[in-house]
Amino acid sequence: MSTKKLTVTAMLTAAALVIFVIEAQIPPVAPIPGIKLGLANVVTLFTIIVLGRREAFAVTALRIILGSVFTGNMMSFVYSAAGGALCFAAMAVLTLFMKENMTWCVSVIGAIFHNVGQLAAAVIVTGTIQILWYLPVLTISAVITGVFTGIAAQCLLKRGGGIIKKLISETK
Amino acid sequence: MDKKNKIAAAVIAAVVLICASIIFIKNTITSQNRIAVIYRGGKVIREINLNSLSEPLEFDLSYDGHTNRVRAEKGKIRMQSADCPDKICVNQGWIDSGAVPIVCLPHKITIEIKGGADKIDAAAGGM
Ligand SMILES: [Zn+2]
Repeated sequence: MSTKKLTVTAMLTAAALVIFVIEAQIPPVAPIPGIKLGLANVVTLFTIIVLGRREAFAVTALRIILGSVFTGNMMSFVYSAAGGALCFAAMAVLTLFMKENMTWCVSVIGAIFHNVGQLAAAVIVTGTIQILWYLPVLTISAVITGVFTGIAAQCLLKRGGGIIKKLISETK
Repeated sequence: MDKKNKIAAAVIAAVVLICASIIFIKNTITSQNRIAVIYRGGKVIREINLNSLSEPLEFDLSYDGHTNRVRAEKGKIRMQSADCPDKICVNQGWIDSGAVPIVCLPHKITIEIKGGADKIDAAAGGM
């Protein structure tokens, strides 16, 4: 990894963390710690497209680990990790065949998978399958926030994506 | 918008519609005969017929040194208080249908309203 790429990755991790910590202050939409709007996903999505999957994985993993430390909520770590892993996997696959003008769609499906992962973790932890009744509600909320974060990522790609790509490729 | 984007938008809209229908149907079915079922770690620990409650019912669920206080009134139920760290269950307030259950994740307690047959005795509470 070049120094420039490393610096950009670190910068994006910091951005993701700031969003994550701010978002932790917003009341939850479901009784599962870690289920939230998923605004920090903008950064994961942007990183996958601009830097690559390996870097995006690092940014996401660091956000979840450090985010749990910073917000002082280690209990939410399991749920965040389960959701983050599924969301990342879904988006990493989808970006293989969806072009940049479909980033909003990648974001929506990623957000849905994020909630599926968290609900699955909650069902396993509590042994209560009834928690799955949250899936329809959370899917609708994932579509709304997914479209929002997806469009944000698309705007970000249009404005800053090219510059960062150029910046990194200059010193290879 | 190109063709691929249009297809994606249509599929996502369909998913939203299906989810909304599930919520609506579950809500309708469970708001007639309201049977509250309390689970802990997947096991049913108590059932209460909410519609046949003549006066409010309040009781504690105490496990491993932790307590959740449940309050049931005619047709509705809530987590009155709890010593869990996040208090999400208490903040959920009353539920009067099975659209979504009350969940206390730290204590592994779930309260769901089912639209079952009208047979559970309110006083006995199915302990
Ligand atoms: Zn609770």
